[in-house]
This record gives sequence, C-alpha cells and structure tokens, in this order.
Amino acid sequence: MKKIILLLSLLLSFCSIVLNAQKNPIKETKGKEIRVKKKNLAFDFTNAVKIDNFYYVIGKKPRVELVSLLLPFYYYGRAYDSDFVIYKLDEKMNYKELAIIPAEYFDKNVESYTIYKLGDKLCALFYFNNRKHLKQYLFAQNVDIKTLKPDGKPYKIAETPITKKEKRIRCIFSVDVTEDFTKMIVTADRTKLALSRRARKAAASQKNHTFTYWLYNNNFELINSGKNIKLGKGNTKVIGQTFDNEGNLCVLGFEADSKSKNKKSTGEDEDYNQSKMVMKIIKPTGEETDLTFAKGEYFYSAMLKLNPHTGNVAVVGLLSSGKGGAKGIFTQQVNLSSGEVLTESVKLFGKDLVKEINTLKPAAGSKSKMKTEVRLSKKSKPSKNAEPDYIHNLVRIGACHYNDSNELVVVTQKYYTYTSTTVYYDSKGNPHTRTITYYVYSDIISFKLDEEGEIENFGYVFHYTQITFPGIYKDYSSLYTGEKLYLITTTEGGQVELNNKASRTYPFKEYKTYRRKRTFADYVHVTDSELLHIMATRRKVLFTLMSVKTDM
Amino acid sequence: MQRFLVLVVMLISSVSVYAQKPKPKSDGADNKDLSKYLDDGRIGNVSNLVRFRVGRAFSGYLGLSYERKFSRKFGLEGGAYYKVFKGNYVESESFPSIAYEQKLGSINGGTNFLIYPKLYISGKKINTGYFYGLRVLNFNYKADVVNNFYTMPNPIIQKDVKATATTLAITCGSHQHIASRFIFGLEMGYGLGWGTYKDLKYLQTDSSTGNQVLSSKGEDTKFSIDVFTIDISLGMLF
Repeated sequence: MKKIILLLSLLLSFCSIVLNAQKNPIKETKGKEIRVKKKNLAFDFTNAVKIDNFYYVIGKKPRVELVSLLLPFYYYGRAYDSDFVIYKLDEKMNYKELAIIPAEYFDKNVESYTIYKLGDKLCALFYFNNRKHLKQYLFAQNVDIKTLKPDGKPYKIAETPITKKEKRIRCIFSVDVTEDFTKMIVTADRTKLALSRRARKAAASQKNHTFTYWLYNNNFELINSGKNIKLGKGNTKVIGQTFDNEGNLCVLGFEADSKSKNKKSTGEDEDYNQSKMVMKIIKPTGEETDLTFAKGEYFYSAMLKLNPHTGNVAVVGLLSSGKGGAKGIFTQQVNLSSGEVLTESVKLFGKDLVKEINTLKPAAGSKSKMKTEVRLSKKSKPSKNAEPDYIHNLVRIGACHYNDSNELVVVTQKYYTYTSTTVYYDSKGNPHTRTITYYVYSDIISFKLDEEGEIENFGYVFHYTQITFPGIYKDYSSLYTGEKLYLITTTEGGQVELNNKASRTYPFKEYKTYRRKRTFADYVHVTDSELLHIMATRRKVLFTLMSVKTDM
Repeated sequence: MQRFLVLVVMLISSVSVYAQKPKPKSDGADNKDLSKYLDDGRIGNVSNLVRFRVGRAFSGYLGLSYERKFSRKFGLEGGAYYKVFKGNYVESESFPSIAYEQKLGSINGGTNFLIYPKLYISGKKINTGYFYGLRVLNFNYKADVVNNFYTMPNPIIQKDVKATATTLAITCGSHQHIASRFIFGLEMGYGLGWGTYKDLKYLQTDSSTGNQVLSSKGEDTKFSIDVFTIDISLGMLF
C-alpha cells in the first residue's frame, strides 16, 4: 500500500512539473557548456546579434590575466578591456565558431567598447585615450560575418577632449544603431566621466549641459554632426536618447530646479525628485527643436521610447508624491520628424486604483515570496493615512512598449532600501555593530495606457529580490510581442496579464543554475521576443536563449 | 613713411594668413589614417627590452640583459655580468658549505651569463604582462675559501680558487609599464644548481709534524645547491 502511495505521489509531482513546464510561456533553449581555451575566454558580454538564424554573442576579455593569485601584492586590479571575442551559435545554442578581433593597431593597444550590427556587417568599436592630444578617439572596424575577421581599414568616427588629471578614462561615447541597422549615432557626453569631487562641483556649477554627436550611415559616411549642443538652461542630467531610421535624434533630460532644495530625496535612489524635463530634437539637416514640459512636476524616473511604425517618441515618467511612492504617470508623445507634441497627460492613480492594487494577493499556486513590505527602514515607511493616493515604493520605470494600436505598456517596479544593524560580541565581550544596506527589487507593476495616456488596466507580479550592492537598476527583463507582455527575472518568467489581477510566474528549469555566483551572469537583449542568458566562469561559457513560445 | 608701414602690415598679414593651416575635420578623408590618432608620444608594442637587474647588482655583478619577444607568448632574455665588487652577498646564502670544514668566503671576480626563456600569459606583442620562466645562470668566478670554524685564527684557507656553477630556477613574475618606455619587473623563483671547485685543497694534519697543511685531493670538488630568487629589474623598451 505504501509503495502505491509513493508511486502515486511521484506520478503527481511529475505531472505537476510537466504541466508547469507547459504553462510557462517562456521557452528555455539551453546550449552545451562550452569549454574555451583560457586565453580566449571572455568575462564581459556587451551585445548579442541575430543574423540569418545565427547568434553572434559579443564578449570582451580582460587584458590582465587573473594570475595575480600568484603575486597578490602586485595586482593592479582588472585592467581595461582588451580584444573582442565573438561566439557564433546556432538556433539551438550550439557552439559553431569563435573569433578574436584584436584591439591593437599600429603596435598600440586600444580599448574595446562593443560590436553592433550595421548594414550586413558587424561593426567593432574601439576607443583610445591619447594623452598627448588630450582626446579620446572612437574607432570603428568592419567585421565580415562569414569569416568573422576584420574587413578593411578602421575609421576614426568620433573624438572628445579629456584632461590630464583624469587617469583611468572609460569610454565617454554612447553608440546606438537604428532599427533597420542603416545608421549609427555616436554621442559624447562628458558627464559620463567618473570625476573627482572638485571636478563634480565644477561640472554642477556649469549652467548648460552640452553634448556632441555624429550621425553615420552604414558606410561610415558622416550624415550630420553637432558640437557642444546645449540641452536645458540649468543643471541638466541626460535620461536617454533615441533616433529614428531617418536619422532624427531626440535627447531627453531632467533639468534640476534651483528652487527645489526643500524637496529632499526620500531614499538612496538618485532618481528621486527630478524636476522638469527638457527635450532636444535634431534633424539630419541640423535643425534643432527644444521642448520643455512637465514644469512644476517632480519625477522618480523617466524614459524614452520610439515607435518605429509611426515615428512617435513617447516620454514616460513616474510622478513623485513626495512620500516615497509614485502618484501617477506622465506621458507625452512627440512626432520626431516634425517635432510636434501630439499628446501630453498627467494621470494620477487615485485612491481607488491604489486600493485595488494594494489589496491584490498572489495568484493561486504561485510560489512568489511574500516578504514585500515586511522590513522597511524608517525612511520609507508608508504613511498612516488609511487610503493613500500613491503606490508605496513604486519609483522605477524599467521598460516601455508600444503596441500596434499606438498604445503604451509601461513596466514599473517597486524599489527600496533598508539597513539592518546587528550587534555581536568578541571574545572579550566587547560589543561591535555591523550595518548592512539591502537593496530590494520588489513587485513589478505594468500599466496599459491608451492613446491619450489614460490608465486602462494594469498587471501585477509579486516579486522580491534583495542584494547588498547597488549595482543594477532593475532585476528583470520584459518582452512585448503579439500584444502580450512577458517578464523574465533571473530565476523565473511568465506572461503578465493586463487584467487588473496578479499574474503568476513560473520558475525556470535551470533556475538554480542561474542563481549561482559566476564571473559573469546576465541577460542580453537579442530581439523583441528573445533574451540571451550568458553565464561565464573562468573555464566555461553557457548560453541559454529565453524566447516566447509562439504555439501557446 | 605711411606707404611703407602699410606695405609692411600687408606683408605680415599675408604671411600670417598662409601660416594658418586648415584644421582637419573629424569627418575628413584623413579619418582612415589611424597612426596619427594613436601617436601619443608613448612607445608602442615594441618587443626589444634592455634590462638592469637590481638583484644582480646587489651580488656585486654589473651588466645588462637584452630580451626579445619572438612571438606573443615566447620571449628570450640573455645577459652578461661582470663581478666588479668584491663580496659574497647572495652567493654566500646560495652556495652553502663546500665541505664540513670549508665554505665560500668571498668571490673576487668573475663573469656571470644569463639565459632566460619566458612564457608570457597575456600574449601581447610588448614585453609586459605576467610570465613563467626558466632562469639559467652560469657562474665563472674566483673565490676565497674560508674555514667553517670561526675559532681558527686565520679563516682563509685558500685564495682565488677557480669555480664554475650553473643554476636553474623556475620563476614567475610580471613586467609592468611605469612610463612610456620603461618597464618595472618583479619576479621570484625556486630551483637547483650545481658546480665544481677546481683543485680545492683541504686542511689536513701532518702526521709527522702535527701541523695542519693544505693538501689536494687531485680531483674537482663538486657541490649542489638549492636556489631561491627574488629579483627587481628596470628596463627600457626600444
């Protein structure tokens, strides 16, 4: 009898696993672990490109080997990035080929940045800090897809000044490629530099934020460029940039309000309480349009999203309540080619919606952790008001998607920090305290907005991750395809139903593997419906493709 | 006078106009010539290095070594040193007692040759980075041999004994840029060595007189040693 019960329970558990696996809309395609020669191992991955059903994963290998274990006192730390490593994989994530693109020209070492797809080729980008000219140069080198070897001579495509005082300078440039891979934009923004305290002060006192840009076609012919373009009239911080296939460039920034000193930050999040937004649109002809909006409003975070079908750019911002949570969503749509503002709306959540969200419970069968809101620091405790009109801890916009009807789906996340202090005693009985700050990435809330920016409905996913270092902005990735929103975290994934209910996620088959501490473990976007999970150790690399199941 | 002044001003202005060179644009035709953008006054990835070894100098040897990288992984260093200063600084520890009652006193001059193949890990063209190596040192020197027992009134038993020795050490180390052309090296290693003293005489008690006299064995005295090395070096790339 016992045996029968045991067999039945085994059968049931197997069935539940199979059913769960079938329900999960995210398909895991796990390749075989690739053992690569140590000299070719990459420890940092920047991009993944899909061309003709092959995946090209771009990695960088450090110039200094980790042999420093032998000479620990002589270790300078991980030095600049060196050569590119390109892994070619097929659709089943099987390893096909490996190529090295050396970062060396004319007997000089240059630093690798990343590789993009441009035209029908890959384009490798390198930068070089010239201490004599006091400039940082950006070079582009075509890479042939068939041979995976450098094709032709490299080009210098951008330059920006550096100073003598700056010792270790990372890449100051930002590079983007259009959706159709025909144009490349390079912007140089010196605020990206890690400056000393004095230099930061000097930069903060600078009234105008300036940047320089270059727009190239896929033959590296310069279409347009602008030097020291001013953005905003005060102390401005760039949030993002986007551009369409025609080469219209749009840069969005927060302009700090000099009178906002009383509105102090309510947490460690640097995005708290930024004031009005400024936008600059630059056409390929060089014509500039300046827009300022959301005056008098304060934001936790904001982002830009281009609709490639209409050429419209959406600006989405989370409105600050000043009490540690968002009170609404600001949206604006601008036509990039004409510079015309199409819609602008400030929509508050209201008490009813906040109440509806706060009363949600995890879907049945979900194994989501219910630790949220349990341990809060004094700073971020919710107000005693029984019916707040803001969603507590909702401060970060992680993603924004356009659907075919020109409607927006905004994905936001609750984020907060708390500190834990423990007292321990040494052998002599002396007390010592240890304080740890925890960074909590909590529930993910998605809002579907109509064309006017009205909140139509929302989707909710219970989620909880806490880490002890403030390195990442969000701990999930979202995919939007076939009018459906999918969510992938480091251990689970699922579809987010925008039906004003909590959606459940399903743990990945390999979730334990993904949680392991590795030299590198992260997701890289490949297409709108595919994410690539890369995990690298000092000996092996493992690629897993997370794609949305189309047959469900 | 005024005409002359006007003429001078015109002449100067025309010269200054010619002196203004057109500035190359970043989108100009010269953006393919990377060499000028990479010219920062620092030496590039050259593979020749002349090195002064501080450890050798402490032992009383002066000389230089030359290293060339034949590939990104393999480099070979060769050096020649001459014993200028008298002393036994490193050798007295490296070359211990010769026999029960004898040991090396001081080295009075000689030569020292170095052959040092290296396997670089970082695989760069330039002679920098971490490496493993096999250091081969050949010694030819004249040495004073002293008595091992300090109670003896005259410690020197025999002067200018010819000796040869070869040491082999497996090393690991690193070369790092300290300026455009200069390299700072640090390495350590452990190994073995062996050598011979030619016609080394021993103190023996004369049975008839009862005095101690030096007598030859009639054959070379062989010895083996273990080697531990830490060396700092300064090099110049060219």
